Amino acid sequence: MTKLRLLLMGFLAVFALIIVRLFFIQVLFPDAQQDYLSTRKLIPQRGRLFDRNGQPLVMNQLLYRLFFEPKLIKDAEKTTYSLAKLLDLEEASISSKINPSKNWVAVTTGVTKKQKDAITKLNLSGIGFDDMWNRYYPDASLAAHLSGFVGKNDEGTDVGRSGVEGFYDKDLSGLPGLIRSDIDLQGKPIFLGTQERIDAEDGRDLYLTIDKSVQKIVKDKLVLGMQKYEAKEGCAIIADPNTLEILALSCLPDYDPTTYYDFSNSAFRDTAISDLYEPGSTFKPIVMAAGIEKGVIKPDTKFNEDGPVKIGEYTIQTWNNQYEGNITLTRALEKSSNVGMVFVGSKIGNDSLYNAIQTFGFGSSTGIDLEGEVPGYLKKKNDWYPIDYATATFGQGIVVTPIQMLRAFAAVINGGKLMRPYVVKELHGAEIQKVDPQFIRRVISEKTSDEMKKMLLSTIENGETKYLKPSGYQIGGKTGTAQIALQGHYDATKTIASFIGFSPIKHPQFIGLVVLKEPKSSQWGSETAAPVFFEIAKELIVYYNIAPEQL
Amino acid sequence: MKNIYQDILVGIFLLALFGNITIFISSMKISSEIHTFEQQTFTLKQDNIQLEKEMADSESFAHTKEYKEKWGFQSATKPIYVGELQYALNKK
Repeated sequence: MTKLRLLLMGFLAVFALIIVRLFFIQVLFPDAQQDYLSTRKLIPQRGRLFDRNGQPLVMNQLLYRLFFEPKLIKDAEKTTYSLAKLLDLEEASISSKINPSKNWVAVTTGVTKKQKDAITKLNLSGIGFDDMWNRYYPDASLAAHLSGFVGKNDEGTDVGRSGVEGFYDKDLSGLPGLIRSDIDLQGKPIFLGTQERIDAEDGRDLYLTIDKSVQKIVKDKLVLGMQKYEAKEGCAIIADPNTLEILALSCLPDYDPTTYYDFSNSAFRDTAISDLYEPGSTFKPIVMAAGIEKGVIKPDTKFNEDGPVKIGEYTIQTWNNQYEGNITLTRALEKSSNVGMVFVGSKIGNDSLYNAIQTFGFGSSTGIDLEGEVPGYLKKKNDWYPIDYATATFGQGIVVTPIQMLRAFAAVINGGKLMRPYVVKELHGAEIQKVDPQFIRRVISEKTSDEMKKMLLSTIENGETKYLKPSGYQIGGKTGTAQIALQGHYDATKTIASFIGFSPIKHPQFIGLVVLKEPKSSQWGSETAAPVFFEIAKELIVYYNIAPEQL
Repeated sequence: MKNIYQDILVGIFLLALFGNITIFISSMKISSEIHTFEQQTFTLKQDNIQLEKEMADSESFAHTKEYKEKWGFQSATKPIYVGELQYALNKK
């Protein structure tokens, strides 16, 4: 009996010990439960961005944050010396972080896997690494405004900002997963305990309409042009005029998306979609097309350019104040005659002109899939004075975004179809979702479009920019020079120079718009923006293997 | 008879005990394997991303530029037929 009692006592003692321990764990220190039940969020991989040929534009990379647990560091001197050498940091900045009064100190971020492996080999005590997913841009800021960047929200979570990253943030982010499991002292899951797992769903990869090579050409030429003409800002867009797939878009100054935090907010503005400007003479083909479509004018309609035109108290003259007398409207477009455009406007009529401007999509968003687009601004019809109708015919007193201008001009040359511009071609997730070109409405007939193409070809062949064009190739287009309005007046010294053009004429393969803000070497679009466009066009002719149309 | 029942009960108890221990040990083994496989999967994923990055690097314009300078490619190597149309039309 004594033995049995002893055994019983033994059991009771063990049970008592277990109960006391459980009391400590569950009542006195309930946090300790977390040691056994681990809940871990599974971070999905953010979707990557590729160009139309599958070339990577934005990838992911795993970098590490190095941290110290200063109380556990045994050899501070060796730790400091080794880390300084491997991470190329100052010893003083490392040693200052070995503060034994603290439990945890972040040392540096952006540690690569190679560096991490080298540090791990040293078996240093009191150091550790946290995983940090980052975006990686193989070609740095090549398409900064297009891609956007990944920043942090108030909770420190990754969030796409501007461009494609901002517009497609939900598609790119994916869905986080979750693991809840009981773990043992070594951190290994206990198979018989709680086991819950919801897998993370990685973000969708996006294939853009952008062609990386065209983007490179455009950016390089724009950089050179801005340097040469000392422009304050510049923007160039190249698109397929038939589908309005954006092939390249570059606005300068831009930023490095890897170190976006070093740039001010103004650098993130994609001027192609967020800035308004007066298009100047590049707007003339739109008005001319509206007139031909209405049937009130023809390319060979003659008018008498005999001097400035008076509209109320205002006088409208040609850019060089020279007048050629009885000329056709094709010639008026060649010499960019403001007086000729006022004539066209008077033929169209105020109401029809206003409606035509709206029909071409001005005053409303294009719907491009980039974050930050503004709808532009078109005054209400009631607020228009006769002078507003007159100046609008040659692109002054009206504001547009570069992307609106490109869309409207594309409709003029693609057979009259107003399309939605877009930059994402395919979304690759569990299944592939293709994005088709989106037709909005017909704005002019194919016949009008053909006539406009001939007029625009003639504008290049016989206008001021004829010397810039590669011989044998047919390029149509129009220059524009708009003075910048400052405090209600136009400053003659500050202009926005632009050029919009396309090639070939019969079946246009590309359309391009170049806008330079405040060029200093010359204020004229024909001497600044046009040369930049032709430099780009020459490269594109080679790239797309476009054959000469005539000798 | 009583002894037979007792022996059977003890037998069942021992069998259950043995089964329990076996299940416990194999569950520990499986847990350990799951842990190892998860770690390996994660490492593979990391390696994969690293390789993707290296591939992207090798296809980048920055990389091409590096080699362009190394091999001395110049603007002279650009096609000339845009400026000299007779070459494009094969009318030299």
